[in-house]
Amino acid sequence: MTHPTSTPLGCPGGTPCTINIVAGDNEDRIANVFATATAGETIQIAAGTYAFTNELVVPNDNVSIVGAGKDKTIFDFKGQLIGSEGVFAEGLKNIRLEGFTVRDTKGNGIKVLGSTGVIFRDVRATWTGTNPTLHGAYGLYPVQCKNVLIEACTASGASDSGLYIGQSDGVVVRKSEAFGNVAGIEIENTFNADVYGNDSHDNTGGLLVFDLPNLQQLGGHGVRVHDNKIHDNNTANFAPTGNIVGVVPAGIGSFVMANHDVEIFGNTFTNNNTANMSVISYLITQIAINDPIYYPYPASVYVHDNTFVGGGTMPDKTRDLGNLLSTAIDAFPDKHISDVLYDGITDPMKGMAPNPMKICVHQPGSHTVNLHIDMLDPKLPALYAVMKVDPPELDCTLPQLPAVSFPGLTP
Amino acid sequence: MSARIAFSFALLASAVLALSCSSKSNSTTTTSATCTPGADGSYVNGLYDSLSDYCMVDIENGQVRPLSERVVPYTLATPLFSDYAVKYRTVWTPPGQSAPYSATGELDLPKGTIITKSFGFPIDPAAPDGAVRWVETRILARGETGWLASSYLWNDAQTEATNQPGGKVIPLDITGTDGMKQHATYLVPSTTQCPKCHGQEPVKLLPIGTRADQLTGSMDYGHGPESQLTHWQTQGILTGVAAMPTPLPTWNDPNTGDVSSRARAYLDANCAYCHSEHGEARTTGLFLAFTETDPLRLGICKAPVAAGRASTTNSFDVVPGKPDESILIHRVEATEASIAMPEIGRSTIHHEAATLLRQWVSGLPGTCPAGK
Repeated sequence: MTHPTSTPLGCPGGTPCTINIVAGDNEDRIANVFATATAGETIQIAAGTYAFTNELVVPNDNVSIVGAGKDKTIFDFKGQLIGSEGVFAEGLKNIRLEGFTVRDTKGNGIKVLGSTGVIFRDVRATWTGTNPTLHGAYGLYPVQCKNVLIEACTASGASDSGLYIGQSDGVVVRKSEAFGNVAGIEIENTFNADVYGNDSHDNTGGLLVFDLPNLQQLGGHGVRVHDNKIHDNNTANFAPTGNIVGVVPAGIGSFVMANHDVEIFGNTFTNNNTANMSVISYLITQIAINDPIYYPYPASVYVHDNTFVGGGTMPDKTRDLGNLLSTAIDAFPDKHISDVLYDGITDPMKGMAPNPMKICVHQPGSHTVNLHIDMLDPKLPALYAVMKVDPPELDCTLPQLPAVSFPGLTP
Repeated sequence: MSARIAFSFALLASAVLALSCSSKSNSTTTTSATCTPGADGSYVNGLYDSLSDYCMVDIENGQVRPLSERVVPYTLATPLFSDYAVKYRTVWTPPGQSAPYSATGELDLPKGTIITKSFGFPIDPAAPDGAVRWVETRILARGETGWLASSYLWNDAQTEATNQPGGKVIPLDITGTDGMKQHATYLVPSTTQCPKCHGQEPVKLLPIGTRADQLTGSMDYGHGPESQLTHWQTQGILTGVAAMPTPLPTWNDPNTGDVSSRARAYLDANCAYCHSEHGEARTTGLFLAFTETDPLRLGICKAPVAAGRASTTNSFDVVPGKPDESILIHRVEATEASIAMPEIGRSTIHHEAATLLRQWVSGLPGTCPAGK
């Protein structure tokens, strides 16, 4: 009378196998396949569009969810009734999500929490609604994970971030595309990330590396951003008002906020109309900090050998930072916002030596401006009076950071 | 899912009401079952296909009935809200197996423990204590290598429930205890969804609510009211029951605490399994256990981290004195997926609880800085 429930649908005898889902399989069957998948199983989903009312949860360690390609296997969540994600995984080892699209989820696209060894490959998260403010927050959303690879993926339409990596350690984001999101790619409160070969365009902000307070993992560091195309990120910010990402002006190529040991090199920044590249403190948000451990300053950030084309011509005045920059645009060389900005807000504990935070920008042919927001009178912003163009102390070099590596990562 | 699940409520109502007087008493009667609780015990390596295989509970006259004296029903001081479903909980341990009493934290129930939790809706909304059409019974069993969980869907005849590992989304119309009708998208969770609430990283599944401060109430087991914890000891489920803990307030019983403590008890039971150091919402910075004392971690003047569109135009999780500006209230009163909290298991508004939480926020002192 006793029948372990994993037998009817799972792999026989506990030997890893492939379970096929074919076009026409309904949600009940797919849910049962997911719920009974044993460790090591591959769930292979044929080309087709599959509609869901409930979220899908990755069931086990070493499970692969593999579609026929992100243009062929579509998970449609337009009718979703249950869950804050389309696909969710928690506390797993070595999972692979490959070759499918997650479309129109009510909340996030794919969230993976607290897992080690996570591969997203050829996966798309997208929204197609007419009011993007009502889209889900994050497209691909690994958080508190170790050893994450996001490769050849696409994210569009997210009302916060398309490719979002939070509170993780050991991350590679490469050869992927993010467009039409508020933030294209976010590396938040994360240790050791390589972000390269991506195309982030037509978002509000292209590629953001930052640390926020009051989270379980603080002190983002060890981030390399190189050989990316970051262009035309001028989409008006459509984040819901209460979101922190709502403070980002349109026209931001990339910024590094409150991280240490970050290297930005070999990227091409094109036509990001507020500012192509910035290094800033969390203090610039003017949001009160209530976290004694949180360190709000950027430190040891090395920006070098990037290519800048256009940009900085029309700061977004609907947000504080863009508005501030616009007041001083005539004081910038060639009357456009320079390619690299530093807010100049420094840790008082580091003393008064020149460049105490070790922010180094080596970009011959480009202008670097220390905005010296630390010297602004908050009642009477006169940025043009305090900012310094091409201050010599910022033209320095730092040791290059090592590439991220983790088990199973191929070059 | 397009078609509404056909619950033959009306049919059942006439049949059941004809058989029973529909008056619910707190006493529990057990049947002299011919089955053996736990059967051959092999569920520790994989859950059974049918609920009857466990020999824990069946349904008679629209009421869940334990099948032996050692299948002990229990109630919690403040339970989880699940679309106004009626719930019936039992706990059973294998003979000779017991948990050491602990005044704090979840009880460490022994291997082989079987917890059942049945969910149903009153057949006659005007008689909420009457016969119930039971939808599902969830099993949480402590197996060889940890807890196992699945849900069993009851048939229309209410004679058997069958394992439904993939879960089910069931649209139905319900009438709340406040008398208001609402449309529910009732969720029978898939086994893979169980850890969303029952996981405490790195442990995949743990019971919720089997802790002393939730169990201090009394129940009539057929001999008049008796302390639940004492009865658990009598039945050999617990050993060493000592000083009773301070009871968790009962969210809707003003005799058990003021507005603030009852609101906090509600948040504890309905939110803190995720909003805890090891729960699924640990990445949000919002921690809602009854024992939490840090206002910021409780959400007071705390900016959301990943709320997405659920934040609407509001800047903070909880704004003292301003429930309409508090994201927490907005999410408690929302029913749409990804905005509603909890994330799963609630698709209707718990009006009475929302009122209590509003009172709590309204009474909080202080002000938040201007939002961004």
